[in-house]
Amino acid sequence: MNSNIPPVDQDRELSDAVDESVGRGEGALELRDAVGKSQGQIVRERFFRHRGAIAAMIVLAAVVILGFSSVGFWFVPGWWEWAPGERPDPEVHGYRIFNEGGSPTITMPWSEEGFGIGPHPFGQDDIGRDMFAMVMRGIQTSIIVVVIIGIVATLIGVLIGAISGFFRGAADQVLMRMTDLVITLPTIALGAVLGAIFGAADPVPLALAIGAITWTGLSRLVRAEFLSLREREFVDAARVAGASNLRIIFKHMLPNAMGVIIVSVTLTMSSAILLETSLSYLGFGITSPNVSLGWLISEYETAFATRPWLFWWPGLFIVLIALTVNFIGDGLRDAFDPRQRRIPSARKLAAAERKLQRERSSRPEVAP
Amino acid sequence: MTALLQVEDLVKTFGSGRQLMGTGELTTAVDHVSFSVEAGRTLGLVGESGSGKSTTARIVARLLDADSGSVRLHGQELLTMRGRALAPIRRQVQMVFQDPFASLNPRWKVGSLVAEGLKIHSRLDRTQRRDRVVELLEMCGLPAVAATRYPHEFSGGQRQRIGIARALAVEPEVLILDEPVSALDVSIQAQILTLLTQLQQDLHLTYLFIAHDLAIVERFCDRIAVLRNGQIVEEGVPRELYADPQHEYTKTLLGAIPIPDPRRPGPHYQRR
Repeated sequence: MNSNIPPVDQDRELSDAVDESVGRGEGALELRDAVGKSQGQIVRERFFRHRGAIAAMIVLAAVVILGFSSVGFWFVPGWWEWAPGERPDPEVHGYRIFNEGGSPTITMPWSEEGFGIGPHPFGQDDIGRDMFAMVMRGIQTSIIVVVIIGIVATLIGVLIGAISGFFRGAADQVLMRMTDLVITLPTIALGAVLGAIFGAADPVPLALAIGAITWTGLSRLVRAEFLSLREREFVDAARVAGASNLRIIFKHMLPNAMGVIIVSVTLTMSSAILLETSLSYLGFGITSPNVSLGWLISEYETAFATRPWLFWWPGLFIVLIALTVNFIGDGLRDAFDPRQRRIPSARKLAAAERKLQRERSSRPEVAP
Repeated sequence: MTALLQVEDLVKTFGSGRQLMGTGELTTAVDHVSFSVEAGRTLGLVGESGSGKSTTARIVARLLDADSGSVRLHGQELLTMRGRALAPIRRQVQMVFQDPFASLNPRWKVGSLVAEGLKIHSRLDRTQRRDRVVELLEMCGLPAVAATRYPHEFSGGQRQRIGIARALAVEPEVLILDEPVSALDVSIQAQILTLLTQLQQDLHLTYLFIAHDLAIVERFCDRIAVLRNGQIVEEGVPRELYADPQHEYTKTLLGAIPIPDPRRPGPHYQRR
């Protein structure tokens, strides 16, 4: 019947696929990179090539390890001499305030004494408490709070966004108006009220409260992503194959929205650090006996003129954590964004060109 | 011979924009369309963009709900089925999509893509599924290793083979081909059409072939229905339809087929 149609030449078509990567000069490098890898692998590799994000990740990991190992966490003892809030005993240690005014004993490598940490590297407060131990406990609190906020905000945001975007119609209207309502309320005020209800003095309830108000941006992004994903043909294909709504949402659409979610969650977390700090500073968040970086700053506010190190150190770590998390978020965004194409150096381009030439000459030419 | 797939008086309208004020205009995408396909045969649904051919295909595939009309498979009404009752129908009517790049989930390996229908509909275990996937891929002219690759590693033609393998996984009776070759190069188009013809013979499949290119439809289909503005304006056997088009629109469509060599004698639509 179809005598004038050429027979299927499978080898020819398979080699055509390889040829596609050879033919295009511009995209050749990317395509070469992509052969044989899942999208997750491609994203991972691109992330690991992002120097800023990797540096930030190393710094953040160092801060987290330092914070959790030094003063101990839960029942695990730490290696640091002082516990948070502990004061030196003149009978045992021979002093109450080590340096004059309790100034930091840490010495920098470029100073006369060379590098050394001394008994109180971050100094002591007016009653002799070790600042290093307090700051480390503050870091722990901030990290715990941020991780919980991330989890809560992700769960709520993804759920609401996914339902809105997938089902549209009335469900979408109701959920999105609710989201708008949460967005219009000032976060600090809402956080303060929720914190007061849940018991903001402890990190976990405070984190739950903050998580319950910071999901809005994520849910809007997820909704938008789902609205566009549900029109894609592979969703239709899944439906024809008999997939249920749940299966389509979780197995087909969510994996494709992962990029948006991860990036947005990371950036939400970095702003949540600052929100926790502000709440604690204003007195609506963590209070004694718990320690947080924001609380430390507010506690020693009055000592600014006399003992500035009392909030230099917590301030430094707040900035460090927020900055590194932001950097990681930027790196993730670049890694997930297909349009984000770094310009390869001239040397790399030349190397890629040589490689393509070599492969072209080593393979028999296929007629176009 | 009774028809396997019977479509009668299908109507589908789309509202334009919001209907809040009740003034939104309605567009009739499918306007009382009726046709039937016999088992093992191919019906071509031809028309320009917006003629309602894809909408008809999507209704038959139960991706869209029709406003009225009926679609019967083996005399069994499909349009009123919902939920669990729909599952066995889904199995019998499968679809190959137009865009081989958009119709494969980029996050899934080819093996899982092809096996999805099996996972949902059959009780095969893991190894049985894997064997079946390899069998399907080879049936469609792909190597077995393709199962462990991701869609983005394949060319357009290969992806369309994956799409066909996926549609065949659950052993359907009816295959809706929604412009399966319109996104492909001409040489690849021929290969895919040959494959589809071969599969139809081997598996006794019934095709509903959607196309806008009359040149392709002529060789591939047993009957052709020409759609315009949601209505079937002409229906018939390709040879007669091409030799003696009755409707103005069909003539226009035939006239739109490019002629490679005007000096060459023979029917003006014949290519290659």
